[in-house]
Amino acid sequence: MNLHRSRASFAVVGHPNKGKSSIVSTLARDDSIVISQQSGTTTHSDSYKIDTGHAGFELIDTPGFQRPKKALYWLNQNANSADQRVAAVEKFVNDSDCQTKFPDEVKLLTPIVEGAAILYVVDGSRPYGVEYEAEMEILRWTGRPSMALINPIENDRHIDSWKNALGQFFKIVRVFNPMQAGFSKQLALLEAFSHLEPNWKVTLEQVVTDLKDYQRAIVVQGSSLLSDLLIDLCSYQTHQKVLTESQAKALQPVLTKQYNHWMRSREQGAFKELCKLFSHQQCHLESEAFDLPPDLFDSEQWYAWGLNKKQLATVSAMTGAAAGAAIDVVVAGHSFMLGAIGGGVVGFTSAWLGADKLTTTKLVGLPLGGYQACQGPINNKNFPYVVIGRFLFLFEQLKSKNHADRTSIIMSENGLKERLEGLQKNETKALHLACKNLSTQKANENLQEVLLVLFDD
Amino acid sequence: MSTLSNQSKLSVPILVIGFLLGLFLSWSLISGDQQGRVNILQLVAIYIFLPFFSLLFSSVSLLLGKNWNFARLVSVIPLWSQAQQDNFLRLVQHPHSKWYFFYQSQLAALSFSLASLLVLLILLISTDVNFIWRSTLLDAKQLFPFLQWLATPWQFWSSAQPNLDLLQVTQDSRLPGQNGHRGNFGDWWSFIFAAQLFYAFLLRFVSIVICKLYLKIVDKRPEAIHLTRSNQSNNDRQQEITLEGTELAPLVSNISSGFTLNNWCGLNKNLLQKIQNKLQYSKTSELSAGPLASHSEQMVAERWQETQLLIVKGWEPPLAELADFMQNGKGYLLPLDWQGDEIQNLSEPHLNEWRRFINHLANWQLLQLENS
Repeated sequence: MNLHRSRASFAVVGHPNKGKSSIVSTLARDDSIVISQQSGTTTHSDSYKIDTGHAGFELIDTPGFQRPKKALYWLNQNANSADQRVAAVEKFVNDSDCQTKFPDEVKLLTPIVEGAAILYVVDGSRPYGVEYEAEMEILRWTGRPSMALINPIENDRHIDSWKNALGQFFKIVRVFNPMQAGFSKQLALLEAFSHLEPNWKVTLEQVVTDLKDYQRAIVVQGSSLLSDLLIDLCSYQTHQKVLTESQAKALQPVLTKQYNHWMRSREQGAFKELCKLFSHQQCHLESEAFDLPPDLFDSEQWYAWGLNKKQLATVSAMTGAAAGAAIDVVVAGHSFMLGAIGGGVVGFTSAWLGADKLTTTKLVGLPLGGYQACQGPINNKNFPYVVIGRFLFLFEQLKSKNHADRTSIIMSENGLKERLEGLQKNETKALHLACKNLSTQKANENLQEVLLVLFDD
Repeated sequence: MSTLSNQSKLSVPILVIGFLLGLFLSWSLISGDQQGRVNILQLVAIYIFLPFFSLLFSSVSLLLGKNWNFARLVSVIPLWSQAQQDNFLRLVQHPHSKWYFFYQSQLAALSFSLASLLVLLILLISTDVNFIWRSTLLDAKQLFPFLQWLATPWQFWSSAQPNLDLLQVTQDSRLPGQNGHRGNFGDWWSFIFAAQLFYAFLLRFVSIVICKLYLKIVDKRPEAIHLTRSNQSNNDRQQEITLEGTELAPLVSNISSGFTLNNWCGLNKNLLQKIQNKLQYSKTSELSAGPLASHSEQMVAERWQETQLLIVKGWEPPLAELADFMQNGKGYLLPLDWQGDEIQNLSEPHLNEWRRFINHLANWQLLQLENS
């Protein structure tokens, strides 16, 4: 028997279908754990090791008691006094006959015999019954530290009677709903765990600290994801170079389709990343794609070497200035830099005025210019707010969603207005400026910082 | 957000620009005039003042939260492709982009210094470089302490220290016949070389290391805490839900008389009376089995061969203890839900649970009370 596990370890035990797997799922922050309304979903003890960076703990999801009364009868036959009870439970677990006759009890008691503490789960929405006493008695016989969790599955009508009964068998009794318990309640439960076994106190306190840090890191990473998403969605553009304006216009449906697909995939990708951040990897989102403005198509002329008018004028100005500077050097500065200045002006002006002619000019049969069909970027000033609203809605939903809760999230943009109203005046101003810059494709040097305030509680 | 290290597209052009600038500037300076004369004071300006003050300027700009440096300047040249401009737009909005641009600028400066050093070495080997100095306002005695102060960091290298005699003899004038002794002109090379190594190379290298370390830390900070889970399961969870496809047993609402009542769940008399009224049976004999029964009562019940009406708590899942008991008997199973003394309808998931359960027991039928 190994009673000195270095890792804090808890066996979640109880009657079948009382939410043991749900509790494990929520505390382990793992939505891949199978939860079912059918009893007997868990047929083996499954160990979930949670590593929080500097510490960790282990939760063992066990099958429910199936033959507690007969198992207790067997134990009574094998222990004449209290001092023999722990040994009797150990004998029960290792006895091959018991392993055949009481497979569920053996599986659930094995981790306890090996040193795990006990988390006994009951349903607080149903009345207490004496049939539970055999289970509780067996657990008491193990001599391990124990805590009872009352899970109010449907309502909290019978919590008091359960408390009265459980208090006689367990050192600590807590009410914990794995579907609704918020982060602070989860931490409070972990803190309560630390009172069960003094050797695990430091580890579990570190776990709580790590989880708080983790929650803060999620906020930072969430704002970072949103910042990336906004920049991408607000600056994205699809384009295709063609020779004539009619060819450019004919491309509109194709480019629109490509553009819309990319924009929606990008948003879905960010949502997926956010779900991953919260470890809600199986979470199903019911979302309608955002509406994109219809007037995002444009066909602009392009010029020599793929440069647009502005770029061409810049290159010409630089070339003209360089040539003029060479003349300045030749005359040993007697031109007072007029060569460089004049060359730059002449280069810029000729490129700006003559650029249009390049679209129809050919060099050795190759066209020097043409047209570019463009879709995007979005200049609608409300668009960044739509993106922010949807992202923040999902963030809040995921933040309050426990891992045992397997319902879909129905997306909405609601809530942003209230968030904005809660901001300081300077924060609102910074956000509006950032959104304006986004919709005009200008850089925001502190976008993540500006967005971070929206994620604070 | 994509990490800053992914934005390496700026590094190559900036390194190339830095290298080319260093190459051309150093070549045009160190190749000197027709007599191979190179003004030391110009070299001091290019290899000491320019690196030192540009480092100071970009560092102060960084500390002030500004982004004034060579890399940022390069990034705004309107010749970049649209994709690269988008990339820069994204980069500028990264919370640590200032450090990134500062780092890139240091790389450019290092590249500049490398090119300069390369040119110096090539020209020292392949030509006769004549280091001289000219000044209208300064004389050798005034200049010497300043050069000495500049050379303080490499005091251990005596041949690279400035020398007043050398300074005096290498003072040059463009007037014919005013030149010093030709044999001394190359002796300045070690001072120039050391100045390059310290002011252009070493300081940049230190700033690059600091910057790189900082970027490494901040780039990692949001991911410092990982929540990892490992499941040490030895079973296939997918195989566990095997009951989903199991057929549901039919329900009966009436029972024939001549059965024994088995009050497994310990139902009170009021509720038993209500069941009797609903099923309209006359008083019957009773068995005691289940959690409330004594061991001897249980033994008797387990051997019972007559038809039973077995009443259980409908909201509780069927346990193996009950299944074991039912294997040897026969009759009707009545899963019941109640609140106080009122019988309630069993919820569908609970009812289906019992219907799946009884489907495996050939001698039993599932009874459901009508209008309960």
